[in-house]
Amino acid sequence: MRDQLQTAGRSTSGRVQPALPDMAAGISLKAQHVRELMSSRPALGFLEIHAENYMGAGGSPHARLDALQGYPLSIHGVGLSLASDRPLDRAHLARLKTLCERHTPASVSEHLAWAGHSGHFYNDLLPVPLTKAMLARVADNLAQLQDTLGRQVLIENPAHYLRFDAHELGAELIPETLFLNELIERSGCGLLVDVNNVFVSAHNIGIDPAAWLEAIPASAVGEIHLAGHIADERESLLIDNHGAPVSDDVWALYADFINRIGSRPTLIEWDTQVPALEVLLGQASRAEALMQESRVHTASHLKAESAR
Amino acid sequence: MTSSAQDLSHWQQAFVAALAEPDTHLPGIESGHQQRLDVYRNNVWASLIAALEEAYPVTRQVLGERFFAALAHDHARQHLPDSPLMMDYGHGLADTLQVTLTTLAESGRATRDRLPFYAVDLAQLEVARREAYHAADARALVPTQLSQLAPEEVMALRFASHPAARLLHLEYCVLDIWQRHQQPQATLVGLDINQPQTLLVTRPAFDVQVLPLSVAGARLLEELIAGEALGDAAATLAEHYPEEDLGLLLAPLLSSGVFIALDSEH
Repeated sequence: MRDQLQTAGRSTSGRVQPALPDMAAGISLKAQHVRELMSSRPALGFLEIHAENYMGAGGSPHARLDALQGYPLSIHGVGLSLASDRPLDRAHLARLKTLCERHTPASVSEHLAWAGHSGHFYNDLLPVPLTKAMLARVADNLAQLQDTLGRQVLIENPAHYLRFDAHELGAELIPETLFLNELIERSGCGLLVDVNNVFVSAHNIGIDPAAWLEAIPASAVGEIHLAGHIADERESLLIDNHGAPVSDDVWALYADFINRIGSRPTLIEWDTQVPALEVLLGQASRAEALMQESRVHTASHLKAESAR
Repeated sequence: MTSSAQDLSHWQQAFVAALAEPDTHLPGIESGHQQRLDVYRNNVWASLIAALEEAYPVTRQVLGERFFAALAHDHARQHLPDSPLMMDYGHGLADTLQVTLTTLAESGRATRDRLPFYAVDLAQLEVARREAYHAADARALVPTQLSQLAPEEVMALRFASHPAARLLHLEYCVLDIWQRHQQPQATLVGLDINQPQTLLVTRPAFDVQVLPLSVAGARLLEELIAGEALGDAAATLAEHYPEEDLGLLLAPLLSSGVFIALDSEH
């Protein structure tokens, strides 16, 4: 299964598979860095954009992507509301399809979240009670999404800030890792594992981050996100704000994860208080170094196994 | 819908209602975690305010950060985005500002002439600039295209407007105000802002441009955009503004990017 993920091509389902190299380290593309990226052309595994920022008809945003097409592109949606209570918004789905046709991404991803309701959009990833009804809804939406785009889509685990009450909801709650496994099974989607979200959620709702990552099927992981977070003192919460360097705890969790499952395309996500390009490149280099080490680690591990 | 799907729908409806109601109890969330809904309340309103701040930097500078944040919050509460495209969000902010300023004036808390009504026009310019920035690409007409044509061919021409072009009729001289605010420590000292202005917003390539038009120039452009042949538009112009020179009015329009290239399909 991993072999299929590593090379661009069609799976037996006829869907195009994500095609970023496993060792790729990438950064979020920010308008303020475009000039420097174009002149200095740093070695980068890929660039990631938020799909919705590039759904205008024309102008600079598209020209920017054309000028940087030497870098593989990851299109990361934030507005599709896969976990809404209803089928996908056809107009928005069509916009995403148009964007993918125009800029031919190596990878497409979305979130296990909802952001809209009754024709309104809230511009945030809202929390999802992981019930059976929700599983059916998200699986249907994912199937529709992947069929429309003709490609496998990676789905990202969100940051959690609160626990649901199953009794009050009147429905059994499914553990998130089980929910994701079921989604993979039902829809054939891949996973985008946000290690910062795992860490933040673990702190906020009391789960074991290492155990969470252990329960994720390695073969389904197509990308990893790393980002910074801040502490909210009042509620002793960690907030996934995408506005700080990746914390040491998250780097450690990431290193353990890739030592176990192998390298995966890894993004440094930084969306607020965006720093100088060199700061992002520095974070990406650190991810790359950890991927190199993990390869050595995995190779020597295999050697030791075979010597036995 | 199955009953569980209906439950899901009701719960999400209750969730979004709770976003606008601090301290409300939302069933389905652990009782000890009810206060944590504030994370989402903060994220939603802060992100919408931030989107409006990004869209209206000069209006914000003119109104001040605190007034603008309150205005943006009001606007977001009254008008949630209707799509995930934040580049389209907040196009009605000028109307919200107009109502806010009018209410302030009528309440007697400030006199009309002390209130920045010109910021309403400024907001209209900023939203037109944003629309132009994201508008569809098209090759703009360049004046040299006309130089190969015989005079009678030129007068028979009809032009099609570029997708980025916007024409604004404003009550205040907003272009001057906008330009002054491109510097830090902007001041309006020495500027009589109460001069109506007609502005043409274009994007011939990637940079948005703004051109002030005279009354006659705007009339000529409106005739041409309406699909009149140049000769007919010139006749209308001569009738209403006999003292104006067609060539002088036409030249800046032709080089502004308001029209698409003659050989473009339209």
